Amino acid sequence: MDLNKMNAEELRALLQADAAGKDLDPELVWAAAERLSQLEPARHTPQEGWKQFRAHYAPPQVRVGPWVRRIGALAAAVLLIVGLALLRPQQEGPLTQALASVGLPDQAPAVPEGYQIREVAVVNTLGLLSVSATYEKDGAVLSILFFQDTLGQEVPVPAETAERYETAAGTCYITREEDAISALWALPGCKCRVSGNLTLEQIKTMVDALTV
Amino acid sequence: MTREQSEQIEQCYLAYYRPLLSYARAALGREALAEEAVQEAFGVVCRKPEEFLAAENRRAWVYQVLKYVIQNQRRIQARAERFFSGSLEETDPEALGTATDPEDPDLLYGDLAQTAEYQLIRRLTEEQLSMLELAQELGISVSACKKRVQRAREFLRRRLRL
Repeated sequence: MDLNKMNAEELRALLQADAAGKDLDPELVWAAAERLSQLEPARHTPQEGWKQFRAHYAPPQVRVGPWVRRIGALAAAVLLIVGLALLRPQQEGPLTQALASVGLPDQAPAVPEGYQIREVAVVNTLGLLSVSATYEKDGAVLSILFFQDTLGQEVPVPAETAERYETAAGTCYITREEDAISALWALPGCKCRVSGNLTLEQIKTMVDALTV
Repeated sequence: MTREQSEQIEQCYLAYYRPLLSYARAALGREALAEEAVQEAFGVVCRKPEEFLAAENRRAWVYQVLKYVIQNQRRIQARAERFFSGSLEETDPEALGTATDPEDPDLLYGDLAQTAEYQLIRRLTEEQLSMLELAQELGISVSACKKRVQRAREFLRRRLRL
């Protein structure tokens, strides 16, 4: 097939056939396209086409230097830390206040889902200040005792009725048995036992009044 | 994309522009649509610069992309023509049905022809404007225009329950 002898109409028909799915020899098609481009001038030069491409069609390019990347990474890390801090469960309310009042770190487990705080108590056990929280849900009672195990004393809570685990806030006991908590509170040396929903001011007053 | 890659792509663009444009013009008819197809093909090149520059035959690579772009444009065009066959504006109200029809098309779609979405799609399909021409007419960027067209399509599809 001599392309040089073909007119524009014939060349166009050849290209149309290829585009329509005839899949002709790519080299032949390319040669036909080149030949047709010589016969039919385009309204834009390739340079103008490139200019138009850069202005309207090229994907946006963001050139970022190494320092900008480093600063960006640092900013992302800071945002991540701040975000995680904001997402941390907020422990407002009487339990947090009571923990703070006796010097326990504010890292107690969050209130179990679906439970309401029924009672918060500050307890002086063997000279050790602790906080007891009682939660309630649909009549079920869950008691958690928070205390600072600095003296290394073993607290005699029956293993079969209480589950012991360590947290950053200290040793915790979880039990659904009211008796287990009561047994703990009834230990000798327990000089003070207050319960009820308390405000921070009430707890402060009460802690000040304790004789350790 | 690095500066070096950009320069190499520019060289290819300048070398291949005319044959590619001729090919697209033969396939699509209108010069503006052909220009757009070539630009779209080089848009693909810019999104995959490593693949393109590593290709043994770059010319064949971009030509193949152009073929896909053209096929895609034709498919969209054909679908739109089916979609709008018999413009709503030109429809004879008498031909739209009688009161006994379960759904009266005039009642359902009579206001559709006046919407900006319909007019936008009509400009693209019936008048065969390129995206660049339409964008310039609307005074927005090509990418914004594409987004608007996409939304208009979705709007019409919802309205016509397609």
